[in-house]
Amino acid sequence: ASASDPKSKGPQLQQGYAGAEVCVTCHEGFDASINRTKHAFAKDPRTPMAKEGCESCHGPGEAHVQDPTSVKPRMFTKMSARDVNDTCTTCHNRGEHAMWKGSQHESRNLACTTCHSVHQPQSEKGFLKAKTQILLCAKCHVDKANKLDRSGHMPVREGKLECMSCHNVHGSKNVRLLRAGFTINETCTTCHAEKRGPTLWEHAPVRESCVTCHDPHGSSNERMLVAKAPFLCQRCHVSTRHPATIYDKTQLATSNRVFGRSCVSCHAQIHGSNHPSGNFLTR
Amino acid sequence: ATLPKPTDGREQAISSLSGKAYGNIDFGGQFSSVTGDSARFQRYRDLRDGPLADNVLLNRRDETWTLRAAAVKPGYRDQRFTADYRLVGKVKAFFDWNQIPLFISSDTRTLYSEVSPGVFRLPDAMQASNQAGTTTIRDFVGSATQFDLRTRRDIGQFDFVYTANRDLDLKFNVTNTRRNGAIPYGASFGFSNDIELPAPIDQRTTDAKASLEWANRDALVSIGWDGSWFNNNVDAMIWDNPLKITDSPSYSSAYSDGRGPAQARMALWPDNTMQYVHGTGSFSTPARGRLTAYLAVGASKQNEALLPHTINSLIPVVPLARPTAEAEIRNTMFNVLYVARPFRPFMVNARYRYNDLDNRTPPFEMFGRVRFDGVLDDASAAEPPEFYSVKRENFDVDGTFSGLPFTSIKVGYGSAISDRTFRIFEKTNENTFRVSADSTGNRYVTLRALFENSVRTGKALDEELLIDIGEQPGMRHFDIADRDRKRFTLIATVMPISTLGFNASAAVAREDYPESEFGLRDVDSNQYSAGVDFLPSDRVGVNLTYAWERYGTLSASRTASPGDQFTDPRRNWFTDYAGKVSNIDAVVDLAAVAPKTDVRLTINWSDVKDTYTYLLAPQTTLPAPSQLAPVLNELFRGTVDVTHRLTNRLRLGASYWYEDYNTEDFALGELTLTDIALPAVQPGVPVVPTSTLLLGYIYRPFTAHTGIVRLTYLW
Repeated sequence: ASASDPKSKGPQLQQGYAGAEVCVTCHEGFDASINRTKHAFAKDPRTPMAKEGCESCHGPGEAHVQDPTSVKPRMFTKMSARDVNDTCTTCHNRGEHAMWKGSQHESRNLACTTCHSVHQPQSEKGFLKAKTQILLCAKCHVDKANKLDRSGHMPVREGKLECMSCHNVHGSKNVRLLRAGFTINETCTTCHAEKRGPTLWEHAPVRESCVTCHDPHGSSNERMLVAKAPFLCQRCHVSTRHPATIYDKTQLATSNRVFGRSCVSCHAQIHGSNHPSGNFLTR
Repeated sequence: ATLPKPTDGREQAISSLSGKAYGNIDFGGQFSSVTGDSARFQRYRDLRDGPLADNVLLNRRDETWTLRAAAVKPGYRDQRFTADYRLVGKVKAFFDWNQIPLFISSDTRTLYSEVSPGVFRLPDAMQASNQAGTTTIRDFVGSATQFDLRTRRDIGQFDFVYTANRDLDLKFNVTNTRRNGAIPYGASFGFSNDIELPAPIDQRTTDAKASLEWANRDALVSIGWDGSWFNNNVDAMIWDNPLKITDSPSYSSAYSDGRGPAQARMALWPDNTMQYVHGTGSFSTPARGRLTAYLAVGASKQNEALLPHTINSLIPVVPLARPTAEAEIRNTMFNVLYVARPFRPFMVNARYRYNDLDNRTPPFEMFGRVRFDGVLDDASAAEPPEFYSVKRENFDVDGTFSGLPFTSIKVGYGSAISDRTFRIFEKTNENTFRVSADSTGNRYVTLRALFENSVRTGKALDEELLIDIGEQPGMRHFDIADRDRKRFTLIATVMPISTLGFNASAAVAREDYPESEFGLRDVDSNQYSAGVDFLPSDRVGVNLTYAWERYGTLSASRTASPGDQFTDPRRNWFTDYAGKVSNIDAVVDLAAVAPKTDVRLTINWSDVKDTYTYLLAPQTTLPAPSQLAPVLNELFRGTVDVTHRLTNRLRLGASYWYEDYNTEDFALGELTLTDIALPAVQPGVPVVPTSTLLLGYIYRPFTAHTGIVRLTYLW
């Protein structure tokens, strides 16, 4: 069957199947909606239209045709998440979706249809149930979406990045469903490769995790720091002399420890230095 | 059941494999008026006035191939072009060109001239007279020249997938990112000195990936290779000292007063590479199970030529242990995941992750060092670099019971073990117990709840490491310190009727660091939201969400010089941070509000108040601090978009955006950074000498009005 001609029976039609042409006699509009999608390409052997058409996903429909009231095909809105996912992953089991089984979202009872609608998508791509990824993800992760409005943020609300730029919500080898690499840092350094190092002088917490100091979803602090300098640095540096000093209002106009760049005025190479005398991360 | 039929020729084309080209082209203009910080207004955008083709789209599809090409804002700094070609069932080729501008500041000015990439010079006369004491930096700031501080990323990506047969894919991807511009950067000559420069950014990162993936319904096998090369075209930054025209030999306070060298040199980000080979196997197992294993082996390398210890001509040359960095980290990653459903309502999910970051950089012997290009330390004072390694093992097991209608209950345990070098805790072990309940699929109510309790403990504590560097022995680095964490989240959605939905969420978290006498001691996080979705008809949609968040942290410190002060608890002080955030998001969609006219209204408001309060210990001997003012950030954005259908193929659109950003920041605000030389001269206030030369990058408000008009032709 071809989506452009859903009224023809496909060559692989088996017993118990009615064929797409029968389905669309009652379910008007669904042929047009499926034809907008890649599901419609009958010449791609991986698509539903190369197999049993509508019934590839909704199950054999001949009995439903004979008794539409009491025999129902698979209706995704009424199926358990587990059954929905089993249906979709029959085909979507490679690439982006290879790690879906056992992923955080699967194990929280999310169905593919929680986020996607094949027949009535709201987005331009990805069959999403919202116009954009942010709007979709914000349904559950509203705190993360709100952080994108902070003064320090990545260009997500400007449309230059998306949630999926960093996360593979279908499952990942990394923590927190991060798309690239095996650690938080490896995801960050896909764009910020200059901080990948390794360098001669390392700042250990930097090597441990970028999110020790930065909030990648956004913050009101310069460079998306989780707290303002010098307070962030003073969470670890309580040594004698300048690190453990109270920098209050009286020093605002005169102390470079509090105004401007604060600690990184001098310790500019805070992510690591490759200078032989860079042990204090000042060169 | 029926779905709406396509309403016009273009929609019909999209929903049929017609062989016709279809798409849209729009043309119009954008116009902005901004008062205040025009750079922050355009942070990642280009909103200059001018003609605008907001979205140009070409589609063509047939039964055997498709092509989609799009251009967004061609000619502007944030332009983007994509092309997606598919030979159905055989080839997928995707190209993306994405430019991301970062406009940092238009307030910036400097006395420096960049005479060659990374080399910043000052007028000799200024350096000479400042050294002689006849002038100060402040005498010259009037001649500083303004410049726009910005960077831009140009990201070119090419994806190619060849489908050899129903089960086998060959995949190739190459991404090239070029980043140019400058960023504000600290370039100090000493701890009492504050110089800021526009550090040059001229970098290129090339990433390439190739893999072969075979998969059918029951199994998946893939092998691949990933490579990444980062090149920085400016390896070092050299800049003049505004206080000196001639070098001085080493003297002990040069690290503080910044008057040692006539110029300084800093190593910028070194070139580096990373490569991996990896393989994945995934197989269906009995009991409706799936076993997936992943192995990757690779290395990150960096072998940049090392700079000399100093550019100061009067400090003797300190030998280098070797001419290049020879830095290398070998990375091994192993991941195995087993999921099974031994009987229908029960699922078990176990995952083991192993990640070894093994730093193989050879020891680097230190024969001395030079601080701030001004102070020479001999070998006995120069500790060698510590090449940090970490090995992580994570084990998680979860059992999910979904025997109740629409509901699953999950109970899980996780263990995270880290084994690292050169940190106060060489080993940490975090045990996490979690339980969650998710009720989904019911059209009236959705509930999601999670409770998680984690306890992290450190082993092999080495307080000597702290004492050696003058830190308080009771200080614990919070990222590895002992920690008790409790987290609860709840999300609820209620839809009493299909046109009306209410949602609410709560997330409460508490972290305690019970062994941390100093450093971060506790973290509180409380986030709540409530919203309503109302769709009374096909023509009207309303969405409103209000969220409020409260954050708090407490950290402890002690102001102390070596000696008696070091152990005096009366010198303890605390920073009590409180963050308050409010957010409102509202969207109103009005379709056909007038004949052939759609309207969308949005409001987005974010208000953040951060307060840092100093607290003192009982019987304190410290002077009472003068508290810093709260940091305020408030953004309001309102938009109106109107689309009028002139004909089936012609649409007239107009948008208006109002944006208002307010900020007060004690460190970066315009009330503090009043000049590039600080403290600025103020009437009636005695003039204080300055060794500060900043760029003038500040946080300041803006108010902006943007109008966009467009005529869109659909074909």
